[in-house]
Amino acid sequence: MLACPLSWVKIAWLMVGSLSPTAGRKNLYVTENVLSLNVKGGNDNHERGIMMPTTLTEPLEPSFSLAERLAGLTSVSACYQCKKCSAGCPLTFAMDFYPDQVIRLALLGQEAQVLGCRTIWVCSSCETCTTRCPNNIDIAGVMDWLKEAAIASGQASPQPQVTRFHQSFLDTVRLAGGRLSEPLLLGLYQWRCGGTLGKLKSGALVADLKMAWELARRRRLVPRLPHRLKGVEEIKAMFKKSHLYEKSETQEKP
Amino acid sequence: MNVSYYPGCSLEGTAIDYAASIGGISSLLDLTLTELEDWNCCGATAAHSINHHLSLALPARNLALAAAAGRDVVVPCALCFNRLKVAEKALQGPEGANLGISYPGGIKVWDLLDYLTQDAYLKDLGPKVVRPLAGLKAVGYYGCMVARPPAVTDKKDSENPQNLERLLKVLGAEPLDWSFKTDCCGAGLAVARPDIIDTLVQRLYERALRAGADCLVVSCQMCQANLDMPQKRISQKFGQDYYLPVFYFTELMGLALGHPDVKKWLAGHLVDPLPLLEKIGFGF
Ligand code: SF4
Ligand code: SF4
Ligand code: SF4
Ligand code: SF4
Repeated sequence: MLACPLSWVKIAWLMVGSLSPTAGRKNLYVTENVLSLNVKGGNDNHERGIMMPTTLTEPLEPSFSLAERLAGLTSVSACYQCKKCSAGCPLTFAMDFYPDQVIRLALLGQEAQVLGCRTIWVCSSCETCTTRCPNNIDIAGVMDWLKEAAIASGQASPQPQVTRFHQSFLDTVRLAGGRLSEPLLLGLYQWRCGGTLGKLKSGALVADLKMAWELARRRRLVPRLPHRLKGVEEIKAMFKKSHLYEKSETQEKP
Repeated sequence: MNVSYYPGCSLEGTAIDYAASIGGISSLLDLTLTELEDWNCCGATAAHSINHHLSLALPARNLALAAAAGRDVVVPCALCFNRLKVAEKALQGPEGANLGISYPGGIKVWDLLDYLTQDAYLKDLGPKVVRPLAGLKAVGYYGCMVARPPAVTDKKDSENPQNLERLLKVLGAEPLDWSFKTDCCGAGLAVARPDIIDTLVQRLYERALRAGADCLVVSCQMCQANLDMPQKRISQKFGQDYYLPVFYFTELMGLALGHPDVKKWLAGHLVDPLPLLEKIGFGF
């Protein structure tokens, strides 16, 4: 907690920001959120500087287009910032924005912030927030919506391993003809991550191989051809309709 | 009873031990599990994370297969169960038409634990117990997806489910109360961010131990894998010597009902449960 001296600098900076004459009401609101963000403890917040909303120095320009696009899913405008979602979220230690902040920023139309944040990728979809929100906002659903929109926008993921894992998973189901093949998934994921050399150095690959061996000798990892379904054409049609491969990550398609 | 059975992909792969224990206990109960023909992957976390259409269409096809088979369908995987329920709601809502799958309804989607802990089954089970699990102090771990969100899963007790505890009592074990039975273990991030798993799962070990438990009991192969496989790594990382076997509830049913294959099922675990079982007088 607050071990990093940079946090203090940021807080000092934020305080100055919130006192500045340009700080309008909305501006202050967001600034307070960011402040609470810096005060939280977390083990991997050092990975990347915490993103600071652009509103720190300029008044915020709210836009409701994002909230309108989300309206088919859930009503983010019903949020009254009680923060119950964040209070019960088990993953806050790995997030750059708390779930309530994602909802607030989405409501205020801060698209670049919410599409580029780490939170949406480290959210484990545990549905605690959605279950407990007093206003029935589907927060976990918003996280999913934002992930899909982030990929569609073509921007680089702040959590490339997580993004590649999801993509590799769906590729595997498609390539295997409708069911997941775990060995194929792990192979594809490793291939996509490419960092085999780095992993070798860090010993992570050795650990992975050891685990694979532990499973294999318990007959839990049996290499065999994937089971192609009779309905493989139906599965293909679903993938076609999903437009999964028409987005900017197409070049990553194996 | 004859019901449809949707095993899900991992029960054909790394969770074949879970599949074996399910087959084993159903033979001891009045239960015929008929595998759905030509079922497909439900898309899991990947689909709902990055492709909304697939996240509904993939499980919707399985539901249509189940409806065509005309029987309720039981599901041993928490995530598969959750995705089938999401698809069920979607097919009945405004998005249904867009999925290109017709689903007449008329069947119920069950998670396996719920199915086997219906009053009638529990009543039947008591007299069949030949080796009560006396002395086994256990916490039930449900994880997230079987219960949440209740608007999807139709569960009334999503904050504090009791099925595992009720079952464990019938089996003669000692279920302990704890507040983390539905806390997330983060399995979906196990490959991409193992460091996150370490934090979440270590917290669960600590809380289970603080509750006085000798083991955890789960009803989902992802929870099992995620609590069992990294236990050594987490012990090393946190300078502890954790020993908490992670049982499938079906394995404990097999044990109490005297199924001959239990030892074989348990051999699939990374954390060997035999020393614990021997300690409470269960030699093989
Ligand atoms: S729980 Fe709901 S209302 Fe409260 S802050 Fe979170 S999203 Fe907003
Ligand atoms: S679904 Fe995501 S945001 Fe919501 S509580 Fe779980 S981890 Fe947190
Ligand atoms: S959730 Fe897992 S086990 Fe279930 S169908 Fe999907 S991939 Fe297979
Ligand atoms: S495996 Fe873990 S993350 Fe997945 S549903 Fe079970 S508890 Fe939740």
